[in-house]
Amino acid sequence: MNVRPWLDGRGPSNYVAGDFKKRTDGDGLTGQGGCVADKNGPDGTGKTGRGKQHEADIRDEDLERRRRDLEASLATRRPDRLEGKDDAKAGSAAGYGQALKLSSEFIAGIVVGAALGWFIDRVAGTSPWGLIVGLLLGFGAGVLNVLRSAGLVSEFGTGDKPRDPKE
Amino acid sequence: MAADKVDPIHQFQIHPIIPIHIGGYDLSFTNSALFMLATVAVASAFLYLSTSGRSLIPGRLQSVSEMAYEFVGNMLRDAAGTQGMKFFPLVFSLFMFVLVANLLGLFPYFFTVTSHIIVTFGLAALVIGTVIVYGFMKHGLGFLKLFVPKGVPIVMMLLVVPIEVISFVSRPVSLSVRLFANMLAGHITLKVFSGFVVSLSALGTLGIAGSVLPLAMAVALTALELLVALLQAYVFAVLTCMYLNDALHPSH
Repeated sequence: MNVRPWLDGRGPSNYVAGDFKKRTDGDGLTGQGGCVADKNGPDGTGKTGRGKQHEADIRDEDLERRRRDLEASLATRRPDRLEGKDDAKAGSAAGYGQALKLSSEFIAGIVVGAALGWFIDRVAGTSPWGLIVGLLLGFGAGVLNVLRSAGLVSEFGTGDKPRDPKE
Repeated sequence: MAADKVDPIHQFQIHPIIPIHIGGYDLSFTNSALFMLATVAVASAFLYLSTSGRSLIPGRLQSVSEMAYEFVGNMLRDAAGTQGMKFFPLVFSLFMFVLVANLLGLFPYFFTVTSHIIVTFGLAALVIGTVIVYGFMKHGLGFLKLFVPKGVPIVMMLLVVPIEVISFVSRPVSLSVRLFANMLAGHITLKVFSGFVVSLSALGTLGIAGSVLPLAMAVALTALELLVALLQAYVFAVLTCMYLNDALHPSH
């Protein structure tokens, strides 16, 4: 549930990061004199500019805290459980699909290699060498198919990286 | 136990409805053919009737048709570029045929056309045939560059080219095996769990109480099968687009 604010989009997380950075600077964690002075500024006389900055910090922090509270209370009302269930189901179905895809690619390579070798044997009478060579090449093609469908090897006819399909 | 009563692969049997024999060939009109016709009829009727209103603001059904159209259109454009759009009728027909056949197969007592490998292989052979014929028509022998990766030494070509050829030939095989295996496995699983319900509930009160579990499983599996039916139609269409892209641009 705490994860939810980060999932909402780019805006809030950028905002939080900026705020966080400001605060570490203010605490003097970076060890820079200027930053420490900034921290001390508002406590003493302080410049108006720094004071405004501090006020803005407080307002931002307040806003942030309220936003987080709102998120938390919304999360309790949201049908969160159902969503998570959906995600899990989609994930397992996708994994199942991926497994079937890769295994079918591999098996198809071997079967086709063996079949081609066998066919060459039949036509040319070179039994059993066609089958042996075909099977070995088929294993190679199977591995290539798997790597290709996993996006790790370039597509047909290209020598370099997997191509962008929009080209 | 009760294996004779619940036969999970009985649903895949093909039997002739109108026997036709021409010249020693069995060309009977079978239940498979019937459901292929039903698939085409349902898909055509749905698309025709849902778009016949042609309202500017689509109703629900028209919206579904338009979504299917745009979905396939975007898929093809993404995979094969705007030149690929000349294959849109082919891809869209294949997508709708596989989708409707898968969905019809989910009805009890209906025959699943795509659970037979010869049907899915026929579809895949159509795709790869289109790729080969169009590739040679458009690029001539340049289409063969598809099998020659760039920047490979001549000596390695002896090994690489056969592997690439086998890899290419194995594409329709894996395409058809994937669709067929998904549908076959899903329907068998569904049948087995439904069979458990029947055989457990024959065991008396305790059995009826226990049969709730496989029943729940069967319900969940039906939902999964619906997802698989949609997903496989999508996968088939996506891969068709990718292969057509090879025909359009064999080397770049």
